[in-house]
Amino acid sequence: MNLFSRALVDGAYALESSEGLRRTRHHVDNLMNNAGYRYKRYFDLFMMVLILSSVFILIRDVKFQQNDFLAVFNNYIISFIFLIEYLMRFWVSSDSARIMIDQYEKDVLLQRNFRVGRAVMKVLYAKWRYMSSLAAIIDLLAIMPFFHELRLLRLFIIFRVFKLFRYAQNMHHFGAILASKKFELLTLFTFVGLIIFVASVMIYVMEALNPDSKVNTLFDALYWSVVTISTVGYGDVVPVSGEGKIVALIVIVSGVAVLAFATSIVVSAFTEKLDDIRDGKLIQELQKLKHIYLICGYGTVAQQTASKLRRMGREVVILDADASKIAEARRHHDLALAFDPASLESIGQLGIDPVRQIRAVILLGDTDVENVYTALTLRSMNKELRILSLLHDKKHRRKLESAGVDDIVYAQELIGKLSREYSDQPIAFEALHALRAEQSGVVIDEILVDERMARFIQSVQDLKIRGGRIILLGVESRREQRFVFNPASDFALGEGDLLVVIGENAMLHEYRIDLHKAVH
Amino acid sequence: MSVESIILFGYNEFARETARQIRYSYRRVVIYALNNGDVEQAQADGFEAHLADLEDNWEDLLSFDLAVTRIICALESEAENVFLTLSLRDRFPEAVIVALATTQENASKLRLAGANKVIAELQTTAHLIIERLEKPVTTRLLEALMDTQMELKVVQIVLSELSPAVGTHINELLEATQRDIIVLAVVDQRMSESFIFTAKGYNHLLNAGDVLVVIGYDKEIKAFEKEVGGVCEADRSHRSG
Repeated sequence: MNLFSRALVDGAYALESSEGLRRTRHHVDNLMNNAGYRYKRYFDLFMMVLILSSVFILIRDVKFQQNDFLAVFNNYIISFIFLIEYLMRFWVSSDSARIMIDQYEKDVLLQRNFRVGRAVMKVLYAKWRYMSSLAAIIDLLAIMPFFHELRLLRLFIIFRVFKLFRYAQNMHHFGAILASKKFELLTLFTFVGLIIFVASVMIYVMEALNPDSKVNTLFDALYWSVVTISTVGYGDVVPVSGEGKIVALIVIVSGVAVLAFATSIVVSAFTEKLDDIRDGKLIQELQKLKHIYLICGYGTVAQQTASKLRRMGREVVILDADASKIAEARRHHDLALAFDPASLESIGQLGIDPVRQIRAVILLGDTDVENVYTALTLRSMNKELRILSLLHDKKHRRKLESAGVDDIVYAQELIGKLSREYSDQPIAFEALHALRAEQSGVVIDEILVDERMARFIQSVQDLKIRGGRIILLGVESRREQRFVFNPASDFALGEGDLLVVIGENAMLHEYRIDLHKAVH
Repeated sequence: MSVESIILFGYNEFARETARQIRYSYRRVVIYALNNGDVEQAQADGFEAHLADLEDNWEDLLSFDLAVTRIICALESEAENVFLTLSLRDRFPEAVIVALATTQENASKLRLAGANKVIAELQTTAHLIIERLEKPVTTRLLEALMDTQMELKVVQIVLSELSPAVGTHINELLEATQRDIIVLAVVDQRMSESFIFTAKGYNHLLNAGDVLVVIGYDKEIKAFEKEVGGVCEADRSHRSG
């Protein structure tokens, strides 16, 4: 390998291994292309303001003397910002170092000389593909300050308006919808083009020699055809001969048909894509959420669970492969998506980060088979995820455990226990359940002894709970790995211990604050 | 007075689990089902089971002392369950009836029909799911308290006329007792049937007939019971298992 090739490969590896560069690149890429990135919204807004101010300056310039500052701002400052943006997009559009390394490693693997020419071509081709895309061309034209020097060319500032497409998500959706009907639209435009061509030629032939007619040139004929077929009909150019009027009749009828056809294409495209657009919007919202309860499977239990969690102010997302169930969930104002929770691909499309975003997954499928399958899918995706599942038939308990479910709720058994408990001791039952249901103002709650608290609170005595209106029911002791009921005042506490306390809601809230204040 | 018998109407999956939970805790557990299949199934599971209908033929039930009997209505059909509850309430005004409902809407109907306690399956399931996720330790603790096999339990103690605790305040009682127990709540049966949680009604004056809801280990609870001269209701630990 010659010196040049060696330098290229070394350079590529150096770039690839630079942590700082990779992080910056990732950040820039997110800012430019990731709709879910939280700063992108502000960046887009900033660019839109620049574009609109640029257009405002252009409009003002038509009738008023251009202010020097505005001229400099418009011609150079905005252009400079656009240039930086263009360069950043150019940079992240492809990873040149990676392309170079891939080619080098492939050649090494196949035991042949590093084909440096091929690698450079690949790098250039990737960049060229970006530069030749419509969006990049618009970006480039929008930078050029020289447009402002010639009056006609100033109109090219309108390219800046086209840039708006980049920053407004709705424009993307509109483009995507039209793109989905490419074939139909192409057919329509071909048809319209043909009619305009035939009508222009015919009206020219019929009218051009008539001294009373305003159709003197082929351009007049084309103008008349477009105005007529669009059903606008200004009336400034009209056929005067009988033959010309016949042509007009044909064009008018065709115009109505074309309009109806075009409308139906756009409307049907919107109807077909409406769900996709809504889902896309929901996914974007979803990516911003944190501490989500992900409910897989929607039925009556899910509906109750979701609405209760929502009332508690928790973020809930519902997934079910059945679109009709999702429609039902949406009627209850739930954030619901018709995605199959048992498919890795479909979970992948959501773009959720399981560790950062999901608090727990709740499996509420109609059958145990469904829940086991979903549990396995989610477990294969992430080992740490907390999964709770409803059990329908108790003989399947082991299967759910094997599938990696952390918590199993067998409602029949628990409700059986409740019935027994009530039959036994109705008053004790009601007392416990009034506590659980948090209806009486007195609640049972958990307080975690965190690292900071542990430095100041060494024993139960330090909690200053005795004699107060808060009851320490017990401590889930990390050290003893068990629940210690009503611990003595000298019972040692440590980091990670969980206090189970009972007290009036407001009192408990204050106590928590006091505990933290005492720590400070 | 301790509950001795349970009459369970229906044998669906919820009723089956209930029956399984209570089978060793009471002297007599009788199941009444509306179809032969369920009766046979219950008998195969080792229960005393009979066929019933919704006509007003309640002669069988007259053999039970309803003061020490609880009736659980868990028929499959919601409408039949409401009808059954209403008929039982009509015929036995003093009976304690627990009814299972699927939804909150049905729960209200069952309450109107006269059930003393209604457990709404859907709401309860949703509640249990959320409780497990939000307060896992508390849930485990409360479930353990409900388990008669565990040493730590929750019991209700009725204060008798002769109890030394009568005429004292809760806080005095709590300070005086050296027992390793927690008095969770008091129900003043004279004034109202609502709870006074000790965390809230710290200065409540105790009267005879008040019911203390106490959490603690078996031995400590028994000692506390002796101290306050109360009667622990439904202590069936000697019968369990």
